[in-house]
Amino acid sequence: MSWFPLNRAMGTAGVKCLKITSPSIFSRRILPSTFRAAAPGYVKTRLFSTAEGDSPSPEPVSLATPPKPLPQQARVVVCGGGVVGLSVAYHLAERGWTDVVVLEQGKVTCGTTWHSVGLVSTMKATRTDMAMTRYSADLYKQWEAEGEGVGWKQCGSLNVARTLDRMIHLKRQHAVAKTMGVESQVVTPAEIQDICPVLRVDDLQGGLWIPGDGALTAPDVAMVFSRKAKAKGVQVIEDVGVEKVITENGRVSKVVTSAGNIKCEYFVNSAGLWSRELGKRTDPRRVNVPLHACEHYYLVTKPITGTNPLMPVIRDYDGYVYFREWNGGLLGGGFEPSPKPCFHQGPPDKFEFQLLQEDWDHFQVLLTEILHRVPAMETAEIRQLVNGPESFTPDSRWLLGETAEVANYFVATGMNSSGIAGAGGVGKQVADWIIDGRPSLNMWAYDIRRFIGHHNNKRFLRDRMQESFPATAVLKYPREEYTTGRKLRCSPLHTRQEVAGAVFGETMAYERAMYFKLDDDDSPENEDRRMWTYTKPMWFEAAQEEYWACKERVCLMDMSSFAKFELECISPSHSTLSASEEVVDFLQKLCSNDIDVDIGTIVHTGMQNKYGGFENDTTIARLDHNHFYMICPATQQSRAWTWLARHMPQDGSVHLRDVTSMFSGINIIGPHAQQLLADVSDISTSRSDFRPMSCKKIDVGSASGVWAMRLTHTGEDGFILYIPSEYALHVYDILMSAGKDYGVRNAGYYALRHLRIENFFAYWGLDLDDRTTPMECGRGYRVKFDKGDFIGKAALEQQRDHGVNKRFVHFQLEDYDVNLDLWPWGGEPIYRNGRNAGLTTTCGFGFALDSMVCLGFVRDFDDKGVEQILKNSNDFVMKDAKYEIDIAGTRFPAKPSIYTPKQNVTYVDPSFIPAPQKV
Amino acid sequence: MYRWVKVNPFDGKHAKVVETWCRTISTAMPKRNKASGANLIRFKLRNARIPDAVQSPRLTPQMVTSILRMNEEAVEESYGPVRSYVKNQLQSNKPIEDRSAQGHLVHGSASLFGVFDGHGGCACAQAVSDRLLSYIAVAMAEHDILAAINNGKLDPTTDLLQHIGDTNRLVNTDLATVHKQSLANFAAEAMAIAHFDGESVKDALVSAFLRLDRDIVTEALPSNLQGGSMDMSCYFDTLAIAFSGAVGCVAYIDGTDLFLANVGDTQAVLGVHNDNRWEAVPLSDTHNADNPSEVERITRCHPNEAPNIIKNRRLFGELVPLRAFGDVRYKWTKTDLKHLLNTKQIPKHVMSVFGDNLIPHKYRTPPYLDAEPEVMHHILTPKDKFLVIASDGLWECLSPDKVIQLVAGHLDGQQVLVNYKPNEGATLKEVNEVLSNRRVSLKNRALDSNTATHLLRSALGPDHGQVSAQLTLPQPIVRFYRDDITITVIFFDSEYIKDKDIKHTR
Repeated sequence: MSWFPLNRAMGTAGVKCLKITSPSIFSRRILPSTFRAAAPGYVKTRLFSTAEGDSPSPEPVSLATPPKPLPQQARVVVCGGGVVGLSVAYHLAERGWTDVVVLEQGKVTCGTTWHSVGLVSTMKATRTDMAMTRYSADLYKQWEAEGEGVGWKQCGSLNVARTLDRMIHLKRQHAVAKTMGVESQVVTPAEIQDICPVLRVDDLQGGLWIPGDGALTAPDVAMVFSRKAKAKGVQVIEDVGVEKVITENGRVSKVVTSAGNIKCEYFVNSAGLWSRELGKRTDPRRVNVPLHACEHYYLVTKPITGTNPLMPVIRDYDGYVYFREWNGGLLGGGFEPSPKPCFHQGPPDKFEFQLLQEDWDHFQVLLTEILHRVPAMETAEIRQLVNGPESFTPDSRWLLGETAEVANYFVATGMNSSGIAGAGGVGKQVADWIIDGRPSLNMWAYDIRRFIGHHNNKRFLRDRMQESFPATAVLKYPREEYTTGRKLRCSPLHTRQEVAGAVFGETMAYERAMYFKLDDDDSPENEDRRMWTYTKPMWFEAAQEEYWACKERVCLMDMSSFAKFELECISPSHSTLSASEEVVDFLQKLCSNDIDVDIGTIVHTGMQNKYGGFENDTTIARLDHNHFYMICPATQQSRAWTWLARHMPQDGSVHLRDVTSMFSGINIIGPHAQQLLADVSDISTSRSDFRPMSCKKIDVGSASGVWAMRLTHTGEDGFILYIPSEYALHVYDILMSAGKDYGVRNAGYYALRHLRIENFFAYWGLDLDDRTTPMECGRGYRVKFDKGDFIGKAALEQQRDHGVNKRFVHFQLEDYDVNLDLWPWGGEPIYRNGRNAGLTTTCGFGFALDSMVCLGFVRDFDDKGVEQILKNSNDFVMKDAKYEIDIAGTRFPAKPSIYTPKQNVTYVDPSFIPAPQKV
Repeated sequence: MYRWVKVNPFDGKHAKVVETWCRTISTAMPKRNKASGANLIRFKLRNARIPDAVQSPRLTPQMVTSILRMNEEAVEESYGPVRSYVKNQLQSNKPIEDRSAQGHLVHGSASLFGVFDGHGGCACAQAVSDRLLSYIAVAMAEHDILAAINNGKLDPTTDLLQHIGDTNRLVNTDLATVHKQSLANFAAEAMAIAHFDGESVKDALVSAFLRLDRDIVTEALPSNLQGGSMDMSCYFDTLAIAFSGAVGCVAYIDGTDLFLANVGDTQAVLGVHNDNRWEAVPLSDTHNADNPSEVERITRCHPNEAPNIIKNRRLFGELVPLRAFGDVRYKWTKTDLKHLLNTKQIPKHVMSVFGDNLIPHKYRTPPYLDAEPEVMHHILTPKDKFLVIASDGLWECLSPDKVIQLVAGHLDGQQVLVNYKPNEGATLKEVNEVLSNRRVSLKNRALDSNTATHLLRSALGPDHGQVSAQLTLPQPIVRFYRDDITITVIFFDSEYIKDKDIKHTR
């Protein structure tokens, strides 16, 4: 019996595949011209079975249904017979949607699943990650117990740390895991040695031991998904490739395959390596699926005597490597820092049960680390070095959900080589998403709408592989920025800011100044301070300077990255000036606040989904009777467009334009902002003439057509100017020179973030998501129940009358030293009277309050961890409650508040020296 | 080579160009040629600055690469101890004055590699590269072969030597006849007087060099024209050869014997791999004023003339090498030179090429120059990995040590096969050790697969901007930044040498 998982899969799940047994036939068949043309470096491919001298296998027993005509139609068509596609089909069937067809261009698992190492780790970066992988692990364990045979071994996993920072990282994970009931234990090097004697521990700081983790045989999992799905009526059809997805009115209508057409309501792209190319084959509008293939190596040794079959899975992140036991030998692989992206021209059409040419020289980096961590492997012999392609996304997170381009077109792909651990949870969430219209967890981090078109650029994807591939192993600090694929979208002020010492960050590929270096930031005494760290970062003083400038003087902040839309009624029959109400009606339906306000007024409003959650949190300015200007968070650029476009009146009376790139935004924040703007614009900016939350079209310097709005997104007084981009530099320079005597300076996003966190301003995407309602974050006053119907009204009424699930709270840490203690970065567990009550969302130092501020939602979990309805959330939060926030294992007492702290509310009026009085 | 300083580079015609280029390049580039003297001249600065040639390269990397590879050549034929050889050439003079030649002796097992560097035109270097290896073949020929030549059974120009690689053959058939006759005469005399006894390679090399030089010198004597043995154009060609000059270095490799015969300032350096270290072993001395023993040799031959002969580190203040082929201005008697000037058949413009004063000042006891080679004998050992022969254009840019390091690094990088596969049964530790070594080697993998091109690029740059600047120097001044460069690298077959070595010691 061969050692390889494929063969084991054949054994346990009764799979046989003729193609894999005869290399000569194989190599003839699988080298079509497209392959050679596409990827000259990968022409040579190999099989495993011959190495062990397998005899040719008997007749191929088709894994799935025997050839039968393709159905004419199906409710859901899933493209891709890998573990993820099958899991989606299985979960749809579990919920009673059995009219599902899975199409596989080759054989089930033949793409990536078959060479997966089969590690199931529940210790992930975020709580959502953990929830999903934990769901997977529980499912697989249950199957093994039921005798389904997925090769589950509950061997536990041991994540080791070489550095203190890695140890902090593990402790932070441990803290979150604890709130979810995932058993884990922080261990010392000596304990590591006890758990796994083959490890070298003298250079370790410690580790995290997760006894509930395990490893399994990946293809078997796919087989069980397939079998169970089929038992419920799902059709799994092999050797049928999807050629095209046809859409009608922006919705999926038909799938064109190599064996005929299938009409369908929903389409799921789970094509793994092929997903990006498949997305392009959507007619008439392509779907962007930003992922790129990368070579992933692991090595399997021949049996080593004394190997414990239940040896835990070892992850030595700092050495980029992982280990598991494999048929008496060891398997070691990793995620090296300079990976080799592959299939840049797209994967070949036929790439079934195939691997890539192994490059030993490339693997050497990992081999050294493998031998370093497990010296016993030095004397082991090689069974096989496996180089299999895996797909990775620009931010190393999965690609899930409905696409922005086509309604009912879902993706479940881009698994970043954690497909097995993710499959169960991903399948469940995507199935829920299709059936309920939303997943049962907050999936924004994985939502494909977090990307925009440029992320699908091939070269960008290839460049980003250098960071997204090793991200599995390389320690990423909180808020750490990517360095590849940068400087893509730059505001007109970019070069000015650069000269002024700006340090940039990136959102939606938009470069934003995070802070401006102080003069002594580069001095020798600051050499040791780090930009990315768990403790006080080197930008602290700079952010503090900017913060106080915003509070006491005036700052200019580039807000160009914010997504901006214009809604207008422009068709001749619906003149802008007419009394018709198309845009108003449309927005009234989408927004929970009343937007039918006077022209020149600005409204903050949520756009709720039918569950009352925030699809979007926007600022809408009424420019004219039937003309609105909408500002959304930068990350909403795809999502907001999709939500608006999908709800637009079918008659085309409302016209939507994305004007993000047309306008640059300059935020003038601070008490002197009023005078500064008056100096350069010839208008009166007094509070009575230019009310807060109002907007005017003004001239600034010699630039005309600038929209000035009196709001700052921070809670401070000031203005945002939306300037036609070509005037932006002019306006910036005018403001800078005019503001000299007002102490004007540049400020970056760190200052903005600190201001708004301290002022208890929730931001969408960071604090708010589609599972949070206005009632839960103290914004009930912005919901106008009496204005007529709007999406989510019923759900919000329900909450208003019966209570909410959680409550947004402002915490100030006590007994906390900002210079010495580890910082909270978001995601820290909140304890209420000793019981877990949720996680923080965003945190920042409050310079005015002089304390560390954490924002987060407080919930009431019962003993089973189920959220209880809070009848009176104010009382629940504030009365008889002692709070603690757990930062990497240390609990700090925290003072709660459900309102903006008083001292932050009062505006500091600019104190002018009075002019001499006339006698 | 920069020897005849008859054209003053800083006269009005060139001044502007030189000045601009000097400013733009000299700041960014180390000055290659000590003799250029560009720094001595002060000009009024131009008002319009042209872009810095290094900072703003005018050639793309692809263009640079194709220029550098234009003349590259690699022969992967194993012949005795020679595993392969590569060569390359880059011109500075137009036309280029460097030449090279390679060949195997038909009778016997020796290989010959020569690099020649002309001056005052390319005629002499061309003639030497065409003829010298055949002269050596004749000098090495045993009695029977010489007899066969005399009987007309063997053609001395074609049947003794098998040329390898590209060679620029002489096309003038009249001249070829003259040359062939001279070679036949040499064969006849060799048979009569001192044919090769298989022992003294050194003597044979010396006699071949000297004989060729003597033939070049005598073929051009005005008596040949008057005697009617040559027509006018053919005679002018011999004159051009004789009045121009060439230096050269020839490696003779047979079994483990390596002989290097050298005339002038072309150099040969052996790359020796000793205890994991690379060592440069020079196998030739340069014959110029930097070499005290050469200066002493000349002054000994011409007592009391010392201050006149070597001026400004040059022979008569004009010629850099102190040994050379051709250059009859320093070899013929004063009478012959005067005779030539008075020969009516020769138009004035022909001789004016060599300047107004054909006869050097205080020319008393010629010859001052000869082509007697200095011959070094080296027994190859398995540690000897390669031999670099190159014209002084290379050595002005790179030291012998640097050259050896570069070739060794390149060799290391080139030797790594792309697809490593561990042996069956190898342990991971062993595999990792091999891979670690490969890792170091792979770092040396260079842009150019040809070692000679790699050296050329390193000599000029190696940064793109610098190479581009060098390659875009305008013709009038390029000569002040670098000389013609010719590089031949011969790789030895250590296994063959080891075998021979063992047999030898037994």
